[in-house]
Amino acid sequence: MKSIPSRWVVFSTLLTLTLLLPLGVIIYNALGAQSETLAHLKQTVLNRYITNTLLLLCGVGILSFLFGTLGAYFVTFYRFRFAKFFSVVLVLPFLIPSYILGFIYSDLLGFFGPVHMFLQGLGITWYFDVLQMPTVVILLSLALYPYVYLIVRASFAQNSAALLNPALSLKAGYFRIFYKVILPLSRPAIVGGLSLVMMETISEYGLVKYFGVDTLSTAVFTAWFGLGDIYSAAYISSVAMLIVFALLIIERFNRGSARYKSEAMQQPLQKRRAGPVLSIFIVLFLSIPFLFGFLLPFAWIVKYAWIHAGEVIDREYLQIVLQSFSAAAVSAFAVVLIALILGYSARVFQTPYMRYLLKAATLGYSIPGAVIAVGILMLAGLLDTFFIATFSLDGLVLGGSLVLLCFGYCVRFLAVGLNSVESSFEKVGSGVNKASRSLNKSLLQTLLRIDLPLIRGALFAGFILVFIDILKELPATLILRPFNYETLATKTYELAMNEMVQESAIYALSIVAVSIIPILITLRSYR
Amino acid sequence: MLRTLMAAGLLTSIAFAAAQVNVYSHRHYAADKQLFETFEKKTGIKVNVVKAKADELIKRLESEGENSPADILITADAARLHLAKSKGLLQSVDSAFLNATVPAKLRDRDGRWFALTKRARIIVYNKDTIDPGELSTYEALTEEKFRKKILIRKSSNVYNQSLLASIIANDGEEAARKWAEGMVRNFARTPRGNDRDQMKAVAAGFGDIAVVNTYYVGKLLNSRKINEVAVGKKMGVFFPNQEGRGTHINISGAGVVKHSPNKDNAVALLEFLLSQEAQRVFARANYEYPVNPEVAPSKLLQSWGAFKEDDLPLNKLGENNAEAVQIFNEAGWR
Repeated sequence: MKSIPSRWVVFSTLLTLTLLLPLGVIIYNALGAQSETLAHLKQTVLNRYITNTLLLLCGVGILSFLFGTLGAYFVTFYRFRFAKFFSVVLVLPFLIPSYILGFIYSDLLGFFGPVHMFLQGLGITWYFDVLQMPTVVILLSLALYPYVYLIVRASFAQNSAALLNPALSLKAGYFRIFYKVILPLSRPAIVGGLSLVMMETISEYGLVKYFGVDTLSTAVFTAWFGLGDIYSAAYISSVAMLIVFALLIIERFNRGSARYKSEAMQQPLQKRRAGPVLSIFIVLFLSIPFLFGFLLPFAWIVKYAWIHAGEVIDREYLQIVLQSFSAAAVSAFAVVLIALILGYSARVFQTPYMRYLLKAATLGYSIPGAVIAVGILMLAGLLDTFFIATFSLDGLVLGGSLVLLCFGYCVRFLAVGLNSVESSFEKVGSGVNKASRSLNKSLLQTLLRIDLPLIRGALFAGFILVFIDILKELPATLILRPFNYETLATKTYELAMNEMVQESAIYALSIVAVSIIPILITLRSYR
Repeated sequence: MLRTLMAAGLLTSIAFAAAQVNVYSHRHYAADKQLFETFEKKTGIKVNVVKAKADELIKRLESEGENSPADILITADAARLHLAKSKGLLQSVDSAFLNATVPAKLRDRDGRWFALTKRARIIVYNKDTIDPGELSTYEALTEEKFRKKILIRKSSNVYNQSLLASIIANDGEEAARKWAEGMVRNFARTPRGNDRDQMKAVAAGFGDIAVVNTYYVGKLLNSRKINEVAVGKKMGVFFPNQEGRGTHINISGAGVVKHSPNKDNAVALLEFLLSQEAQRVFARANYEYPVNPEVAPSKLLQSWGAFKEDDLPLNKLGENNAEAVQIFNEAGWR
């Protein structure tokens, strides 16, 4: 074998360090600040914040696992009525941002909303309070389970026939196959999907805040802005990161040294026909996330978008759509490229160093977008001062530019892209890669000729996931954006905050509309 | 007109505009946009806006430092203006018009910020269950008779923080702590939702009394949804502490940024926003109280009658903010 060029590792390290810089700046600024505030927070509220965060993680984790994994399992391994339909629509809840889901359900279920009024019409004067922890758990699960579904389904589709067909032909029981063969086989994908869900849950801000659930991410803001203590804010952020790390480590220990990958050639899967009872169960089960995660909120959005369409569709609107689309596309491309470089280096150089490097690179995903944005602002401030002094310019180079926004998206969403890359590499196995290199092909050649074609589908799926995530991103966009710059997300939010939730529907609808086509194309490529 | 020609801007497209003013704003109302457009038409000065939360805009100003393109910072509360001032992010403005128009207590002593609109934090009550004769002050809401009747939003909300900050300034820290603890004892439910949600909860019978900002009552009464109007009509409006120091008020306001590259334009915009023309738009659009004494509040606000305002200098709200948050946490006010 050729001597291994370590520039891949060096380059990966540089990329990761760049992505971690904003977090580093925050921590650096935190050093030496007062810690009385921290003692105060520990004494008074921190325990509750941690408990709430853990409860939320458990609830959302369990529900997302159920909807995501079982959904993927049913549509992949069973033939039943509407199977094709469900295999597509189960992704759709992903298109509706969680904060919009929150606005919609508080509009529907809040006091004097349609549901309460309907009950009153029936003579039932019973008020229930929708602003509660359980509502948050359900809404977040509905918004996030598609991560698990999409990634697990891709892994089911990519392999498993070779291992499953024997089990199926042996007429092994449903549960046994699921438990003994399918779960272990797709474990990297399930864990990958779930860890995205967990990180997204930890950094969730808008929904939890509106529903009055205090989590670590709301605590960061209380400490930072309410008490003016960046040190405590950094401390709380690191508690959140620790929780994420703990989850990842538990999984690694649990998995032990076993590696689950099939290097077998693909062959068509023999789907099992679901009996009538099972069919009904499956359809009912799959209807829940589809109905409440997509159809109902989407119907709400369409209704009010229709009513208010005339008021908002103008040149400004078209410009906003175009801006959102292009910013998301460019940034998502950057994210996938970085993810590919990192993922490929880790695939070739399977060292613990690379593994930790990759974990570190994804940290941004578990940190609230606003915190990352502020770190980037500080960093840009330093760099701009340097540029201006060095090149005697008379304005900001980075500050308020789209470069910052794009960088912010990369820091925040690398985890999503990397996840797709990593789990698909794990599925493919490293045999082909080694074979190619033994034929004296360079690493780059191997990547372009062998690996890239193999994981093309997963890469595209990763791109789409990141693209939609960016389209929905709110807090970092608000802080980092240039003058007079609106995206669909910022506009939806602004209208909703001005108590014009219904008027915001057209923008929410546009988010769904812009993302629905690419996601349908992605799904087709998995057939 | 005040036309400053910028040096050839190579970096951002906005720098090409000959006359401009760059605004960082926490306010995100349609009325603001309309006013900026009017200003552009009148003066030819282009208004560029970034809208985000005040805390984040302040961080942005800090990190941009003397290179910041921003000319004006607009916030929706006094504490943040004070914060920006204390971080040295605002500069002093000496405008005869502003000094004559904005009452002294509604602007910074050093001219670093000026109120644009004001709002009162008042008590609303369910007209069917509460006799307004029972109500008197914020402090009295902690009395035994209001057990499980009080609704108010979370302690992370800046209007609550400012209210407690004003109590710290007026009654002292010990009294403020007692007040926060007494309120928590009397809560009808764990705080959640916005001000309008508190009133809806009152109407739904989850409590009887809520503490809210005035313009939210106006928004309910003028909502497009008939159910919300019905909620608004159920509410009685009560201005507390009229026998004593007066009702707590807060402002939305603006200051000129320390390193503003277009200071003249910034002052021109401030003066415009406080002109009678602009103040009438503010008063009409958002049910806020105008700051310019020549402009009358909207009919709805007038129907609630004139009231005595707490004359506490608004800087105090900012100075006591961190202490207020600590007291809230210690009192268990979620």
